[in-house]
Order: sequence, then structure tokens, then C-alpha cells
Amino acid sequence: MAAGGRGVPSPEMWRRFRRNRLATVGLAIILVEVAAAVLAPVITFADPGRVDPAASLSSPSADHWFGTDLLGRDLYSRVVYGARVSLQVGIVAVLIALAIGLVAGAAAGWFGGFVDGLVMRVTDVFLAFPYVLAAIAVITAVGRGKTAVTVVLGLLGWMPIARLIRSSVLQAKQTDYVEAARAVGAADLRILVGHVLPNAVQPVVVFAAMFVGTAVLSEAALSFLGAGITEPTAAWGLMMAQGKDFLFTAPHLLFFPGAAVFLTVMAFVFVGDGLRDALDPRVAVR
Amino acid sequence: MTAVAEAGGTVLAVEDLRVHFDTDVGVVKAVDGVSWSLGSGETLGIVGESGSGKSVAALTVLGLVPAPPARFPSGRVYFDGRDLLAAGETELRRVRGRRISMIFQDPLNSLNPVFEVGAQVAEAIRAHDKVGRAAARRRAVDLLREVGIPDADRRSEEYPHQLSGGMRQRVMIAMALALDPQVLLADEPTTALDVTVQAQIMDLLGRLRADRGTAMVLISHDLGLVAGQADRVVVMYAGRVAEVAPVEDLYHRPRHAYTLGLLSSLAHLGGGAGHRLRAIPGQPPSLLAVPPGCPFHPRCGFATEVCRAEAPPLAPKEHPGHLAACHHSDRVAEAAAATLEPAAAVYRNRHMTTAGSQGTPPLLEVDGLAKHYRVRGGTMRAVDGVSFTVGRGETLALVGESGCGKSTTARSVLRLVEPTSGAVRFDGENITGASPARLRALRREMQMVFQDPYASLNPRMTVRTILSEPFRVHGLDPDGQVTRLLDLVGLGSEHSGRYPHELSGGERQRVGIARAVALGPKLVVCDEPVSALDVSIQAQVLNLLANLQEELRLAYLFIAHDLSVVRHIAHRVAVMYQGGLVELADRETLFERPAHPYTQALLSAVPVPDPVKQRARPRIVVRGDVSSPVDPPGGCRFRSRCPKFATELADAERRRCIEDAPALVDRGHGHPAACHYAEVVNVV
Repeated sequence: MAAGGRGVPSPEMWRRFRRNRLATVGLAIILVEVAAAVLAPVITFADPGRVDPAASLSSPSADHWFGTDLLGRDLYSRVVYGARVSLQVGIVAVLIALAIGLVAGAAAGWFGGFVDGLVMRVTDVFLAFPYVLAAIAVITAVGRGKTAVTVVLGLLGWMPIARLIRSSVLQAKQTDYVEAARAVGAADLRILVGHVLPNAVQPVVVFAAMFVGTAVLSEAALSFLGAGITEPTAAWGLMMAQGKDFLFTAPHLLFFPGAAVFLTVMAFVFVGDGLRDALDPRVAVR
Repeated sequence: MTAVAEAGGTVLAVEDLRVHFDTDVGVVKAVDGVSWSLGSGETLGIVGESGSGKSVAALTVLGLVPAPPARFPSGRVYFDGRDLLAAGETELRRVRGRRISMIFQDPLNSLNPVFEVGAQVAEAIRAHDKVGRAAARRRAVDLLREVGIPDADRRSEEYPHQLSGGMRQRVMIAMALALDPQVLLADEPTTALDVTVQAQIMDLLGRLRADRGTAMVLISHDLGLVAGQADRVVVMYAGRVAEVAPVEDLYHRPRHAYTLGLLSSLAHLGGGAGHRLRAIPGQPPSLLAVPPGCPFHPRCGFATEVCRAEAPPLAPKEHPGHLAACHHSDRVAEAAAATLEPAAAVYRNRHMTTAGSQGTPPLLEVDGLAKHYRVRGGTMRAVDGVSFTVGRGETLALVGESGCGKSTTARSVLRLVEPTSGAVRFDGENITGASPARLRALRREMQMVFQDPYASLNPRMTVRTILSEPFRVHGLDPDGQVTRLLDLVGLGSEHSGRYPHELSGGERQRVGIARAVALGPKLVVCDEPVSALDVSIQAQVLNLLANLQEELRLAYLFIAHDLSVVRHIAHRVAVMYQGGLVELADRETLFERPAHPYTQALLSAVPVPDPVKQRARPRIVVRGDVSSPVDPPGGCRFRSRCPKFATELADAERRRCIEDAPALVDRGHGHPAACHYAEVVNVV
């Protein structure tokens, strides 16, 4: 992710980040989840797709830590494998949104005038789309699956980023230090990349980190509605969708994937908070 | 009650007040054992630099300091037989506004933007008096009229943003005096205003207070302002009282080394020029770590072992009512007698007729420069045909009040703003049409120092990166240059790794200056380079600029509103009003023989830090505020405020002012002034 200052994360940034306890906790949760996703075959005992009708809907036990679903599949394995899908969808979607939003927002703020008007109108059009409805429509056209969900979330998520970047660029463009750089003889590109963007990007980085959480949640919502990930892939949202029918008889079907979504979203929000501190050299480091 | 209160006519007394703030990084001792008292009808001046605790002490009087984070380890605030520090919120509310009221610095922030000003004044009345809505509104309009708001009936229905800064401060005064309080706390009441408006407001305050017998605590960083207003003065330093004295004693016979330092570091109107100011070295201490002993000792030329070991008590000096907390009052007294004699020394001009600048063509020629902006409802003529020259190694000061177009002129000269018309010739080359590539190359020759040293440095860059940038931009090697530049502006290499927020205001401005001189320019445009700095730091930066000018033979275009600073640093002065020059002369001539009524009013409005002189000076007062620069009417632009136009001229003579815009020409005074009826008057 684009860092502040001269683009290189410094030891001070890490110290500022660490000062924020919750951010450190959030980062730890994310690291554990990533590790779990990578090491899934090693740390699980059952194939997440293995059907066992005899063990249908069994409660958490020593054999099945999180219990099993209707088809008798091991829920622990499915939650761990689900991290692969959910994290990937969340992070890649945000990267797509960032790429579009950064370019569009920076162009709008920097050039102003006609470019600004055009970008902002396009943004308005995209914002007017009901998020879920648009996603469902696109997926229906393109076909369901991990890739489609990722792309849709990215394409429908860039607008707030563009707006944030635009307003920060507008603000930074007005500052004395930008005028000072111009007075020194710096060219436009140098001013934009060296002075404006580093000062404009901070709120976006924070927003993006939190947006990963939202994307995971949206993936869950889409899958829940049946417009997201398809069987037999293990994904948290899909698992919750299937668990809803057994809310009272087998609550663990909802609880474990729900808890995973909750933890992930929370972790990314905390990390976003910490990044805000880390990227601001004015935050005192003790 | 107490000895203080019985001493005769004391209305408000603060005793041994301590206000400490618990923060993440330690205890900030904002006020640390402060006592002062205010007699009835008296004006007590409290002066000090930022962070000296002068405002916190006053806010504490009204219980306006939030606790926590504040703590009050000791202290009493006596008012009307009670201790306000121990009083509850209900009791304080009865005192606030009704018995003791307050005026703040920024009238835009202290007025509610979504209510009419008349309603806000009425609300202040109704908060304490049981009167009907309509009656309160009528009283509000009367008050607004009394504070000099023209057409008060109609203006009372306007919102704060529709009023000028001066008018808003008048509204604040109306509100503060609505209920005839006994005490008025004025915290930098005119700092946000232009100097001619400041003069109007202070006159108004003086008149209203005389009628009502209101006592006032005037908190200010401006020693000149306090000299003209206060009966007694408290000087604060690092949360403590350094000196208390009747106003004349304080300015003429200071007994604390800090007071003497402040007075001798001031650039002032009456002072000579061409010499270096006697700056106090270093910076005020952080309130987290006030030095032991006398807090001023690290910066003090008189300091000895005892100052480092022992905090001096606030002890009486030879005159009654004069107290100072200094171990070396005697030596300060000797030094004061030797240095503070006003006008004793006649300073020779440094290089008034700058050697070599006579024969050679000027470095910068500005000819008919104009910058117009299209705004709703017309054309704003921010700069409207300005011509001047700056010689090599010369300082031309461009002075005027806010909105007169001086900054726009400066930016147009550097083409940071594209001028609408006119020509700018630099070193003989017309740069108004220069290509972007040529312009970038020219940037090495002409540079800028900004007003706000915090805003002009990128907060995400270290000092090293900031100072290397000019070299990188022009494809030069910054190796070794950063150290050289830091050394040049009096900073050490240890500063190079720091971020702007880790530097003090003065240090930041030094970095800004270092960046400006990095590439060896011939011209530096300084846009109010010291107006954001504390008094003791201003002197340091002004001296630095003067030294650099000599060393590097720089020419300065010096934008300023503070005429005292201008008198100190400029060789020639151009006075600007509403987009045009009204007078242009060398420094001595402009200050001693001003010919334009606006220059005279401006000079007259600048307070001199000498209570005797200040109170004896002739006053030339302009009326009202600057009118809108959008599609101004023809004729002389100053006539709506001109004291001469209002009182001295006959109707026939006025016709000429209305119909015919006066050109900037010499009318037999030896220098040009844009007034048909220019006439030399000495006002300093």
C-alpha cells in the first residue's frame, strides 16, 4: 500500500503503529488468519468437501471442533478454508477499488474544471446504484464465482476513495508548501507525486483498510443472498446462508463463520486506525 | 477578606494561581504561582509570548478552563467577596457576562454563524435579565449603535459572515458590555484586525469604559498596544510573573532581564534603522520542562550561579507598586538606563543609497501590473496597475492592510499567479511571457519566504528532504548543501533529520529561509516572514534576513503589514491601498514626512512601545472599513475613509477626488504620493 513520507515505511512508522494497542491486536488477528489460509491443509484434519451423511448437523465435539453441516462436512475445515476465499476476495476487491479511485480522484482534484466535473458525475452515477442490486445484476450476467464477486465489489467500491482523494488533493493543492515547491521550480508531476499525494493518501489508506472488512462483509451478504460464491467452495457468507435454516436447531452453523467475519472486519478496522497514526509523523512516539 | 481586596478599590484579584494540565507526555504547568490584582476602573495589561500562560490565567477567572485535564493545585480568584475558583457552575454563570465579561481574539469563531447578530446580543441580555424578546432586541440595537455600527437597525438582522472583522469585534464588544459588567477581560481583542481598525476598536473600548467605569484586563503580545492603553502591566514568562509595574516604570525602567530583553528586541516606529536588533537568544521553554531556578536564565545575559539555583521571588523595587522576579535587578537597571534612552542614538543608514545601485539598472522592474479576478457580481481588482522597481541588494517593503493586494502582487512577480496585464522585468528580461521551461530556470534566481512557517513546509518531509529538493529539481547534487544551508541560517546538522512539527516556529522559519536561499537567488520575496512569530523570535529572524542580505547580496521584496518591522528592514517603502500604490519613498522620508493621508493614518495607528510618546502622539483616524474591491467606483479609492476628504476639504475640492483618480506622482514633496491634496505631516 502506498505509504506516506518518501514512500518507504520507516522504523518510526512501525513504532507509531505499535503505540495503538488495538491496531496491534488487529494486525495479529489478520496475520493468524492469513497463516491459517495458507497452511489450511496442514492445520485441518478433514477435507472440507468430504461428505459424511452419518454425521449430519452434529454439534461441536472433539472430532469436529466446530461441528458439522447438513451434509456432515467438517465446519472447522470449512471455516479455515473459507478464510482463503474471503480474504482474497476482500483484499483484491479493495486493490481494484484503490486503483480506480486513486487515479480518478487524483485526476479530478489536480486538473479540476472539466475533468473534475466529468469524474464526479460518473462517481454520482455509480453511487446511485444500489450496491447489492447492481452486484446481483452483474453477476447474473457474467456468472457466479469468486472472480465475479471480487470484480464487482472492486468496481462498485471505488467511489468513496475517489471522493476522498479528490478532496484531499484539492486541500493539499492550496497549501503553502505546494506553492513553495512551485516557487522552487518543481514540475507538476513532481509536485503531485512528491507533495500532494503523500499528504492526500492518508485518509484513503485508513479507509481502504476498513474497506477490506466491508468487502468481506459484502461477500458474505452476496453469498447469503445466493448471488456470490457457489457450492462446493467454502466461503463464510455462503456457509452462513446455508446455516440460516438451522438457526435454532444447529446455531453453530451460523456462529462460527459469523464469528470469523466479525473478527476479520474488526481487525481491519483496528488496523486502519493504526495506519492513520503510523502515516502521520506528527503523532508522537514515546 | 484579604489584604489585597482591602488595599482599596480592588475588584478582581488572582492569588498564587496554579493551573496544571495532565497530558500524555507529562504535566504542563501553564500557570505556576501567578498573582495579580485589578483596581476598579483600571486597565491592567498582561503581556507575554505564546505559551507564557497569560490567557489561561484569565480564562480560569471565569471557570472556562476545562478541568480535567486542568488541575488547580493552588490559588484563589477573589471577586466581590467570593473565591470564584471554588464557586460552583451556577454561581459562575451568574458572574459570567453579567459581572465579568470577556472579548476573544477571533470574533468570527466567537459569534454563532447561524443567528443574526442582533439576536445574539439580545440573547446575551436575556440570559441574565428578565426582559421580553422585543425589549431585549431594542436594547441590542441601541447597543450596536453605541459601538459604532452604522445603520444598526438593519445590520442587526445580518449574520456574522456578512460583517467585516472590525464590525464583528464591535458586536462582541456590544455583547460584552450589554449588562454593564465591572470587569472586562480582553484576550488579544485586536490581534486579528488591521491596524487602522485596531485603533478604532481601542478608541471605542476606551470611550465605553470611561462612561461605565469598567475595569479591564488587556491580554496582548503587542507591547506597543499595551503601552498606549494600560495603567499597570504584568509581564509573564513560562507561566510565572516576571515583573509588575506602573506602565511608565515598566517601559522606561524595567527591572527584569526578560522585560529589558523584550523591549530592546522590538523593532519599532520611533527606533532607528540599519542596525541589528538585540534579539533574545534561544526560545521560550517548553512548559513541560521549565528550567530550574529562574526560568529565563538559559536565555539571559545577566544570569549567574544564583539564577540557575534559585527561583527569584517577586520583590518590590524602588518605586511603589513595582515588583520584579529577578536576582539582578540592579544590573538590569544600569543596562536599561544605557540602552533604552529613546532616540538617544542616531543611527546611520546601513546602505540607504546602496552602493552600485545608482548607475546600474534595477534588478526587478514591475510596470503596470494588474490582477483581476472574475467574481460573482463583477470583477475584483485585487491588483490594479502597480509599478515599482527593486535594486540589487535592496529591500523594498510593500505595506498595506489585509486585502490590499500586496500578497497577490508578490505572487504575480514570481508568476505563482498569472498577472492579468502589465510587465515584470527581471534582470532586464520580460518574464511575463516566459515559457514554462524558462520560468523554471528563472526560479533559481527568484525565491520566496512564506508567512506561516508551518504551512509552508511539507509535514511529511524531513528538513533534509525539504532542503535537498531545490537541488534535485534543478538536477544539482544536494550533497553537503544541507549542512551548509543549516549553518547559514543558524541551525545545526542535528536538525536535518527532524520533521517540521518537531521544530519551533522560529526554527521552521529558518528552514523556510534556507530553502529560499538554497540556489543562490538574487531576489527573495518575503511574504510577512515574521508576523506569525513571537516578539523575541521576530528579532532573531529579522537579523538573520539582514545578515543574509549582506552576505549574499540579496534583494528583498518585503511584504508586511507591520510598519515597525518595515522601518527596521526596508530601504524603500511602497504603501498599497486597494490594489494601487498610494505612496513610494525611501524609508526615512516615508516615516518622517509622509504625504498621503492613508500613510499618515497607517503610521498614526501603529502603537509605539513607549507609554509617554504613545499617549502624546497626534492621531489621524480613518473611518470605517475597506470597501469592496469588486467594481470600485471611479476617483480616489481612499476617499470613503479619508480623514482629509471628510473634514478638511471644501465641496469643490472633493469633486476632484470623486471624479479624478490621483496618479502616483511627485507633487513637490520629493517623492510620489497618489493624492491630489498631498501634504507632509509628521505623525511618528
